[in-house]
Amino acid sequence: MATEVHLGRVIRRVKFLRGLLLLLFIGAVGFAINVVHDLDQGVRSLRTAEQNDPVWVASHLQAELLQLKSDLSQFALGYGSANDVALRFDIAWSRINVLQEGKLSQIIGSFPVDASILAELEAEFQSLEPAIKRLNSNNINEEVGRSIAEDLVLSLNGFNGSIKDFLVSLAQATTKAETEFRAELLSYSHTVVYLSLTILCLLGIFILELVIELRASRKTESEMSILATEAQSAARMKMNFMSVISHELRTPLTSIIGGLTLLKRRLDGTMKDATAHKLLDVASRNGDRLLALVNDILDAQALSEGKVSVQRVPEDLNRIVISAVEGCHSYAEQLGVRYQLSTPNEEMVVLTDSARVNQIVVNLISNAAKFTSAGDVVEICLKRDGQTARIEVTDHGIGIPADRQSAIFTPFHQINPGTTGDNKSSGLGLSITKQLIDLLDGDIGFNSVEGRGSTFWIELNLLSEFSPRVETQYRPAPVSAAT
Amino acid sequence: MLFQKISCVILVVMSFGAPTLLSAEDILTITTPKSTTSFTQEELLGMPQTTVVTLNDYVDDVTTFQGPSLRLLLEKLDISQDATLKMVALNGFSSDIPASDAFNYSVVLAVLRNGKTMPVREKGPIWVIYPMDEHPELQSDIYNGRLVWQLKSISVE
Repeated sequence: MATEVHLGRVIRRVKFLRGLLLLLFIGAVGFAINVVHDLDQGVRSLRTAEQNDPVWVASHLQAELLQLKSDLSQFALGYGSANDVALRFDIAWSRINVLQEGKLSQIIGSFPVDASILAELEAEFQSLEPAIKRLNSNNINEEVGRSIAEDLVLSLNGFNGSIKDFLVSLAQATTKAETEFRAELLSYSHTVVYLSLTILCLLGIFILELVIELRASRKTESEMSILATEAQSAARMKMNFMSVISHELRTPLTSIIGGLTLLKRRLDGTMKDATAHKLLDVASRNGDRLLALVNDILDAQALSEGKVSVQRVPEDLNRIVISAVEGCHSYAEQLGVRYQLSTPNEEMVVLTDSARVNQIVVNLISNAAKFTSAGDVVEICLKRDGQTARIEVTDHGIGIPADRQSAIFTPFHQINPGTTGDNKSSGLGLSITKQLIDLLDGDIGFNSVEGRGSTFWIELNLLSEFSPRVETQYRPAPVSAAT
Repeated sequence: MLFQKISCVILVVMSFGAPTLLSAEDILTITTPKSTTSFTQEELLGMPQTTVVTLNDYVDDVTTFQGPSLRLLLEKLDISQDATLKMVALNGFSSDIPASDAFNYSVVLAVLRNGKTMPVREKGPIWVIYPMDEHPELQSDIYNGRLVWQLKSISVE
C-alpha cells in the first residue's frame, strides 16, 4: 500500500516535471525558430541589396550619362555619328528605367534618399528626345546638328551635381543598412547565446529528471523484488509444510491401510456382521484415497522443485498400457465402470521411463472411470500414427465445459467440485500428468463435449529402427543417445 | 580559311532561312573561333521560339519572355557545353556564362517581352533570360549577373 502511494507520488512528480520541460522546450524551440526566421529575413534583405546594389547601377547611370555627353561633345566637334549618339541616349535612358523598376526601385524606395532626381532626369530625357531625333534626321544641317549637340551637353551638365548627390546618398544609405544589419546580427548572436544557455539548462533539467526517475524506478524495482522474494518464500514454506505433513502422514497411513487389509482378510471367514464389513470397506477405501492424495501432493512438490528424474530405456507401450489397465481394473469395478482396451498387433517401442508412463496412463484411465457414470465403458486405444505412438482414453461421462478447458492442466483444478461425490480428487492429477509428459518430451491433449464425455490422448515418439537386439544396446545408453 | 568561314555562314543562313547576311539591322553577332554569324531580329523571331514566364529582380511583375533558346543557337553553331560564352551588351559591359547553362536550363535570348519587341531603353533588343521561377536555385546573385540586357554579341571562348 505504502509502495503504491509512493509510486503514485513519484509518477505525479515525474508527470509534472515532464509537462514543465515540454512547455519550456516548446517555448525555446519557438524562440529559436523566431530568431532563425528573423536572421533569415535579415540575410535575405542584405543579399537582395547586395545582388541589386543600387549604388553600382546608379554609378552605371552616371557613367552612361558621361558617355552620352562625351559622344555629344565629339559629335559637336564633328566626330562620331548621330546614330551612335541616339544609341547612347537610349542606353542612358535604360539605366534610368532600371532604377525605377523591380527590386531596385523597392530598395531605393526603402532608403531615406531623395529619388526625385530619377523622375527629373526622365522628364529631361523626354524633352531632349525630339532634339536627338532631329540629329538623326537626314535633312539636318551639319552646323545645326553641332549646335544641337552642344545644347544637349549643356542641358545634361545641369544634372552632374544632383546625380553625384544621389549616388552619395545611396552609398550612405547602403552603408547604413549594412551597419544596421551587422548590429542586428550582433544582437542575434547574443540571443543565440541566451538560447544556447536556455537549451543547456533544459538539458540539465532533463538529465536531472532522468536521474530522479531512474532512482525512483530502482527503488520500485527493489521493493518489487523484495515482495517477489517474500511471495516466493511464502509459497515455498507452504509447499514445504505440505510436504512435511504429507511425509508424516504417509507412514501412519500405510500402517493403517495395511492393518485394515489384514483385519479384513482375518475377519472375512469368521465375522458375519455385514455392517462391520461395510465399515471396514469404507475405512479401507478412504485410506486408499488419502494415500493417493498424499502421493499426489508429494509428486506435485517434487515436480515443482525439479526433483523428478526420468530414466529412459526402450519400452513396449503395449506392456505398460496393459499393466496400467490391469492395475486400475479393481478400482473401476468398484465404480461400476469397465475398461475396453485395444492394442495394435505390433510392438510400440518408445525410449521412455515406464514407471512415469504407467503413472500417466493410470491417471488418465482412473480419471475417466471417476468422471463417468456407472455402467459406462472407458475405451483405451493404443495406436501408431506415423512415427508416433498415441494412447487415447475415451469416456462418456460429464465432459469438460468449454470455458474450463483452457485451465484443465493447472494445479488444483477440478470440474464441478462438489458434484463428483465420492470421486473427489486432489485436482493435481492432470497437472502432474502434464508435467510428466512434458518431462518425457511427449504431447498431451483432449477433446471434450460437456455432457457427452472426453477423449484424453498422449503421444510419444516411437523408436524408428528398433529390434530386440538394439534394445540391449539402448538399455545402458544415456538419454542423449535417443533418436 | 576564308572559304571555310563563308561556307559556314552560308550553312547557318540556309538552316535559318531568310538570307540577310549584309543586313544593317543585325542585332546579334555570335563569334566562334571558326566563324562569325549575325542575326536580325526577324531571323531570331523566325526560329523555333521558347517562352519563359518568370519574375526576376528587374521586372515588377511576372513577365512572358519569348525568343530562341540559347541552346538552339549553340547547337546550330556546334558550340560545346564546355565553352564559356562572353555575353557583350551594347554599352560594352560583358558577363561570362558557361554554355552548360543553356543545356541545363531553358535560357532564352528574349526578343519579345509580353509579346512586344524591346527597345534599347527597355533593355532590348535582346535580354538573356533564365527561368528563375521554374528553378528557384537560379535566384542568386550569380545568375542575376547573367541576365545580360541589351545583348549585342556572344563570343565563344
